[in-house]
Amino acid sequence: MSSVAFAPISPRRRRVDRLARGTVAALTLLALIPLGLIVYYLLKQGLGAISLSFFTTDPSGSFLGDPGGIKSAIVGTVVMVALASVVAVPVGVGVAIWLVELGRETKLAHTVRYFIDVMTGVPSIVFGLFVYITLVLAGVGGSSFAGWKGSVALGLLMLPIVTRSAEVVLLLVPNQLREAAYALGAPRWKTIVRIVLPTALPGIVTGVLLAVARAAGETAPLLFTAAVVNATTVNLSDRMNSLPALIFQNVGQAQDRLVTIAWGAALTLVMMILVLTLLARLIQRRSRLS
Amino acid sequence: MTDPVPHTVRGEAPATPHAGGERVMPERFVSRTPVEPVAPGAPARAVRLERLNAWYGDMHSVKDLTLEFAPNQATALIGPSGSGKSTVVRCINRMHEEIPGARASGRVTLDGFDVYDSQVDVVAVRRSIGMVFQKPNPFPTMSIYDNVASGLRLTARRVGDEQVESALRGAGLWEEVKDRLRRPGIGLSGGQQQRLCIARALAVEPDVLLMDEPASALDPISTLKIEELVEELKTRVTIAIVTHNMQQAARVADQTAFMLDGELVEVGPTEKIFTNPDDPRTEEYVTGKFG
Repeated sequence: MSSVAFAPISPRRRRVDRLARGTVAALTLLALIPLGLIVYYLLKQGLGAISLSFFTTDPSGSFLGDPGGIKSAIVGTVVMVALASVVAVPVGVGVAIWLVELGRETKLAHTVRYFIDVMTGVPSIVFGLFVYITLVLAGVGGSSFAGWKGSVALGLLMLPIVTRSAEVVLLLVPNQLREAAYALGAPRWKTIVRIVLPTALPGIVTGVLLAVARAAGETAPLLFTAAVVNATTVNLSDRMNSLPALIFQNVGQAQDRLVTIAWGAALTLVMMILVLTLLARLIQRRSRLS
Repeated sequence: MTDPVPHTVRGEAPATPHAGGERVMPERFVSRTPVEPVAPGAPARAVRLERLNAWYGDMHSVKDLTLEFAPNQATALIGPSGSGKSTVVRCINRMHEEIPGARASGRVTLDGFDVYDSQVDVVAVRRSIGMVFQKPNPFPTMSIYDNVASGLRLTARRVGDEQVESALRGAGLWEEVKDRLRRPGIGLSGGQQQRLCIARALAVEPDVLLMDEPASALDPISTLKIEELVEELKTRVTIAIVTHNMQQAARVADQTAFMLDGELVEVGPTEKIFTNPDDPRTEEYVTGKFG
């Protein structure tokens, strides 16, 4: 050792360091095991079902013959989630803007925040039940089960997620930027539209995509709002199939062929959500916040 | 606390200009039409504070302050942290009221017109009174060009390349950025960012420029550039500069005001404040005995 008075690292410190590193690594592996198993089983069971016709034909519903594909479920999921997003995203972002920019610490803002937290915690099946009672049983719009009613349930589910994530991102926008805009003589609304929102946009998009992914994977709100059918439809007043509902129905069947379809549909759903999440990550990486 | 320097004390506060209805609010304050800038060569506008009081909730942070900022001069506000210097300048362009729980009373006039008058559009006030903040705060989503143009665009005015160039030249940044106007503003160094913010403020063609410790986050060379800039800017605008760097005040200001605990202790020509102040507290502060 040199003459400088740096004490060498004690063996005890090295041991503790190694132990801590080892523990953390082991816990990480432990957490990855279920994820790996899920992906493994999905690929193992689901890949067999996948072919071109799997995506291009509707479930046949026939008990003995060819079970068909999952086209109606893919279309239904895309259509219902899209409609839910079109309504829930602007409203959710709007609420977040109000909370951060205008409501701030007012009593009303605290109340709204509280109810959004409550909404986040509401089990998804409760949203389904709510829509079932208010829209399906009441036969609103001349039909009982309908795609748009599924969208309403999904939208209710997405709303708090979008609001909460957008609020967090908007709070990240440095206050100095708002002050800079005000000091230039910008009115408040223009400061929000031209300065705050563009700065927060990548983060807001990430939150929105995560909410979309969450809604796309929900079964419970759709089971008694949009129901499960075989035929493809884009008419939102009709019953509409969806991937999670199709999986739910098929996986309980006694026939292996139908169970395989469920696995294939599950793999498809996971891939769709994976693509969305990757997209969200990509956008987030380009973000200047976070 | 009585103000020891006679030229800032003007007995009774005059009646508000609109009280008798004899003075009409100028168009540029009431409407959002473009503010007519002071013609080149004409004097910039004077700012006068009369019995200004400001609070943050229950905290009384500016107490009965009367002070005049002479046109085309730089007035430095010095004083220890928490003495209310920043609050004073934030009251001038009404940024103070943006803070929840903050309020102010008294009069702030720009060429005789009360910026706190109920008829006055706060947005118009801020167009006439620009501000540069302590930390450089260019808009992160915008290019250098767009940052300079933002003040005009945010106030619904047309932007020409020549305006952007003139503002950047005014801030002494043109030569450094003219080849990369489309690059992000946050890609510049701290000192350049601060001059970008000055250019952004200048592009709106204000009559007054408030600088709230504009160099406190910068290195010595960038600080020097900002100080040189203040000297040049005086030909165009009236400057109020908050600083806790006494050398800086001595270098850039024509007039210096010393504040302590929200009160104006003394104001006078910079040289007098630093060499022969009337108040013993000013002397103690400028000689470094406290603060």
